[in-house]
Amino acid sequence: MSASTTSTTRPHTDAQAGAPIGPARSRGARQPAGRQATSTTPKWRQRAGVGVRRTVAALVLLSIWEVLSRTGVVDPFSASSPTAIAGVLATLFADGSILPHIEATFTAALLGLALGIVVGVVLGAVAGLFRPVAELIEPVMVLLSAVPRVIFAPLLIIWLGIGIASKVALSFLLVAVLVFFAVYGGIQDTDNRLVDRIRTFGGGTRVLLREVYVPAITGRVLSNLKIAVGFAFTGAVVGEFVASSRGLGYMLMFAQSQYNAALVFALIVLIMVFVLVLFSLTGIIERRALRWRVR
Amino acid sequence: MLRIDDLRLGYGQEPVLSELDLHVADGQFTSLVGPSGCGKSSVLRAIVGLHEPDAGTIELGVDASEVGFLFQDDALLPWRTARHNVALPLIIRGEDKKAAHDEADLWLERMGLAGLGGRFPQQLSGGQRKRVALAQSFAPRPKMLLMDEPFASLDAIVRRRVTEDLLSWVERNDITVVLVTHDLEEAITLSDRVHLMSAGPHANIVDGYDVPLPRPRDLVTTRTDPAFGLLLERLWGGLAEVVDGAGAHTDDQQDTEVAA
Repeated sequence: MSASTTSTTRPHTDAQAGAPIGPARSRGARQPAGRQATSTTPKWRQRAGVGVRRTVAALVLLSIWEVLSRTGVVDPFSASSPTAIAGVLATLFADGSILPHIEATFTAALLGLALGIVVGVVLGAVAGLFRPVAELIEPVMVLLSAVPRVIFAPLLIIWLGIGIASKVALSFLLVAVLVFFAVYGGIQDTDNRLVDRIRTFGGGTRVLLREVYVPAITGRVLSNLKIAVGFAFTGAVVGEFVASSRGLGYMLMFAQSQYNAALVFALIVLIMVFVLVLFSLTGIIERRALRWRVR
Repeated sequence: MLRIDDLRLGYGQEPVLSELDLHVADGQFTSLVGPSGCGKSSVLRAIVGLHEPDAGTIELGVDASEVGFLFQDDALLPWRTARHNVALPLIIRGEDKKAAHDEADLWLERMGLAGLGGRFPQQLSGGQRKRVALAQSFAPRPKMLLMDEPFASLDAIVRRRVTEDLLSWVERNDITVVLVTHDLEEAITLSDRVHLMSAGPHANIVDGYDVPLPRPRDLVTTRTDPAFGLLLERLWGGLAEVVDGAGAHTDDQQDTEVAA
């Protein structure tokens, strides 16, 4: 095609170049409306409906438990009852005796989570980008992921004592291995076409990290954040089970030694509520940061 | 002028291209056709520097930064907006991010995607994504565009619309194009010259056909031109010879192996 062949007998303007695309765009724009039209109930109302049904179901189950306990059908000493558990919780917070234990468990879990994420990301990224490093680290990580890592708790207590350090270490160990595989796998699975695309634009390692690897890794880490939060609390509480003088795990062991079912239930409820709150927070972070996954 | 001389390229021990010569004049639209797996895409990857040749020379005739590459898949960054995807080659080139995004919006508007710059690739249809990829390729104003079956994944209607856009842009801006395609009709409709490659291994260019059709072209009326039909017939004949030749070669090899 020479300059002379590029005549003006079929003139094109920028607007004309876009003209044939109009219908395609409007068709695309109509799609969400079409989807909405198929549903007569707004989304918030559907969600609220589900929430109401779940709450009612939970209240019914709690009522049955209460009645069975009060009538003696189940042993109130071992099964306790919702009102007794609520009473224990109220007392724990009223006298403030639970607060140092909550602080201890939260500190250990969150420190372990943070350290585990940082170290997991660094090791996963280095192993993903440099094959010789992967050859050294991967077998160790595979071994650590294959065994129940809580078996290291006694060893960590021997090494680090019964203070917070051993709990942080156990949480860290649980989280770091999870995050390592998330990041390492993320880099391994990176779409080579994206890498090629950046290279054809003249982008080097720095651009590849910024535009391809870091977003890919972030996505993987955020997708695993909920599991990591659960692991972090598992590590902290199990560490406190084994040997400690503070924390919700310590309290659980104490309650068990006293055969105090109401206190055990109260602590379980407390841990579940905390983890659920953290799950919700990580869910919000995940949704915000991974908006690009929403169709 | 793009000049490829005596190109030899392989994957590990497997030879793919051998003694391949290709010369493309400035502003010429050239297509590469040939049997599946003969190494057409490898030629483009070698030109753009994604695959190091074993031997031979490649002279682009333009600066490497002036070469655009359009992949079969749109290869957009899923975690970046359409605007950022289009702006990316400009940002990599050193342009200010804000200015690059403004320019990206203009390109999206030209591609009929005004107002969709803030969407992520997954929120766009296949045709819209392909237009974003086109805008991304055009934004750095390339003097040479390499395309590897860019429209293969699109349905017929979207494919036609996007191809019309591409054709009009290329014709107006006098861009040198090398298109890899398995679609002979598409090759003739768009190109000034179609090169036929032999079957691999050791593939090279065995024939070249000038396309005697006037420009600018219309995708529909071009195909009704008698010259189109004649060239298509010749090209089919050439391709059949290449494929049959490769088949005969394989049969000979098998016979030899059996005899041995």
